Amino acid sequence: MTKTAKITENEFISRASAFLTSKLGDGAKFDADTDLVAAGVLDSLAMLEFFFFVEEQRGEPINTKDFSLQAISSIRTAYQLALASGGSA
Amino acid sequence: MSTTERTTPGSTAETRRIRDRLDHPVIDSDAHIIEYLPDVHDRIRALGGAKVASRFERKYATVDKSVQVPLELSRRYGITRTPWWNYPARNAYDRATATLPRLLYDRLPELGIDFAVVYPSYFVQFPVEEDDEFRRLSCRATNQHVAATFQGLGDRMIPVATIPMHTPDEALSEIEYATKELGYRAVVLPGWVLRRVPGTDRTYLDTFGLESPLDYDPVWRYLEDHGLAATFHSGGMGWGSRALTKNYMHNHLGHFGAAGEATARGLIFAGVPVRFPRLRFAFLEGGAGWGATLYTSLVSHFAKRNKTDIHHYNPAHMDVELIGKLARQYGCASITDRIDRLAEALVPLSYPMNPVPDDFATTGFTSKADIRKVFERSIFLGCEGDDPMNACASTAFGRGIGVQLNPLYGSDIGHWDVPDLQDILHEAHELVDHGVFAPADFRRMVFDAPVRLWADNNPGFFRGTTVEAAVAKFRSSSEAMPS
Repeated sequence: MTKTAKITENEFISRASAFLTSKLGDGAKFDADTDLVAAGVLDSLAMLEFFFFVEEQRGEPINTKDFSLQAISSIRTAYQLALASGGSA
Repeated sequence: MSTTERTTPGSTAETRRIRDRLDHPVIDSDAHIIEYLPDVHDRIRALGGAKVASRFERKYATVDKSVQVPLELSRRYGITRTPWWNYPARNAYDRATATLPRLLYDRLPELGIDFAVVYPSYFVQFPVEEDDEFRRLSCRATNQHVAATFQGLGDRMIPVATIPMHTPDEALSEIEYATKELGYRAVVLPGWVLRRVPGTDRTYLDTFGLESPLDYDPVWRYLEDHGLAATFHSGGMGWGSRALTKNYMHNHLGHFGAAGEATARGLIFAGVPVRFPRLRFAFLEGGAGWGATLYTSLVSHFAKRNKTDIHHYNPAHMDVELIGKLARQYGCASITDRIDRLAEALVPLSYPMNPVPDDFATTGFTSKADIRKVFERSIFLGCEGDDPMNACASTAFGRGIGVQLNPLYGSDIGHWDVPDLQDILHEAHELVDHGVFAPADFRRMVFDAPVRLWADNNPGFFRGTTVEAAVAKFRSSSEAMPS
C-alpha cells in the first residue's frame, strides 16, 4: 500500500459512490450522507470491501485500535478517515 | 525428519513396517483435495454469468483480510476469524499432491492408503452461503470441477459431491444432478444452516432435524433409497462460543466435534436414524469423544426422563405437607420466617403440567437398547489419526460405556493437520503403538467401519476398486453388520 496523492472530498465521494454502486448494483439507494450502517445498505461483505476501499484511498493502514464504526458510517464521514494521518490530503 | 528434507516420494520405513503387519486394506474416508479455484470460478461464470461470478471474486478477495478489520466493525457485522494458512506451503510436493488428484492417486500406495474417499476443501463455505443463486451454482461448479479432475481415478479414490441444504428441493436437485449426471456415489451435506428470523436480524441454527422449519424427510428418504450415506463435514466456527474476531485457533479447537454433535443431536431427536434404518450417517473430523459423550448423556437422560420415569419429578406427587414439616424442623430463620410462602419456593421449575410433555417422543426410542442400536448401526465418527480421544471408540472403552462406537479413519490429507503426507499411516497407527487401540480397533477404524458406512446400504460401492475383494470377504463375514 502506498500513500496516495491528495484527494478532495468531491473526488472521494465520486470514487466511493462508484465503488459502492459496482458492489451493490445500480438500484442501490444512497448518497454521500446516507448512514450506511443504520440503513443496512451494506451487508457484511460489502462493508468489508468498503473498509478496504477507504484504506486503499488513504494509502496506509487504518489504525484499528482507535477505529469507530461511526468513521465509515457514511461516505462523507469516511472521507475524513481516508485522509492519511501523514497528511496526504 | 523435517518436511524440508522429504521432497522425494516413496514409502517410509515406518509405513512399510505397518503395512507388512496388516492383514486388511486401509480405507481413508476423509482425505482432501484443494480445488483449483480458477476452474471453479470459470464454471460459476459459465453457469451463472458475471454477476454470480463476481460474488465469488468478492468473497475470495476479502476472506484473507478479515484479520485486519477493527473489532467494532467485526462485531457489528458478525465477521469472525476464519481459517488462515490452511494448507501445506514449505512442503511444495504435498501442496501439489493436494491440488492434483492424479498425483494424489499415484502417491496413495506410498502413503499406505489403499482407497480414499476424497472431500474438497473450499466446499464447506459454499453450501452455507445465504444468496440462493450463488450457493447453488457454486456447489454445482465445485461438483463439475471435482468430477472432471477425478476422471479415471475411481479404482483407488472417489470424490464426494457438495450438496446445498437450505431447502430439501435444492438438496434433492443437486444430489440427482451429481449422482446421475456426474457419476458421484458419495455426497457431503452441510450439518447446519443459519436461518434468519423474518423481519429481524436474528439468526438461529437449523440442523435439519428437530424444530427445522422445513421437512427434510424427502432428502433422507432419497439418500436411503439410493444407497447414499449422509456425510457431514461442517465446522462450528462462527457461532456459539467459537465466534471471536481475530483468533483462528480459539475458534477452531473442538469445532468439528461441536458441529457434528449439534447435527447428530438434531437428527436423533427428530427420530431420523430410527425412521431411516438403512441410512448411514458420518460426522467427519470431530473425533470419537463427542460421540461417546452424546451417547452416554442420552442414555442417562433417557433413563431418568423417559415418559414413565419423568413422573419421579411430577409435582403432583409431591408431599408438600411433609416438606413443610421438615422445613419447620430443620430450616434456619431464613426459611422458617417465610414458611407461609413455601409454595413460592416449590413451584419454580416444578410447575404442574397437563398433559406432561415427553421430550423423547420424537426420537423413536422406547428403551436404552434403541439408543445403542442407533449408535452401533447408523452413526460413524470421523477420526483423524493423531487424536488420542479415538480411544473412546475402542472395544475396551466401549465395554465401559456400553456401546461400540464406529470410528471412521480420515487422514485429512491436504490440510494443515498433516504436516507431512508420508507420516499419516504411522501417525494413525501410533494409537496401537501407544496402547490406545488394540489391533482390532485399528482395523475397525481403517477398514470395517468404512466398509459398513459406504456399503451397508450400497453393496456395490467398492465394485471395481482395489479393495473390492477384501470388502466382499468382510461383508460375507458375521461381523459385517450388527443386528
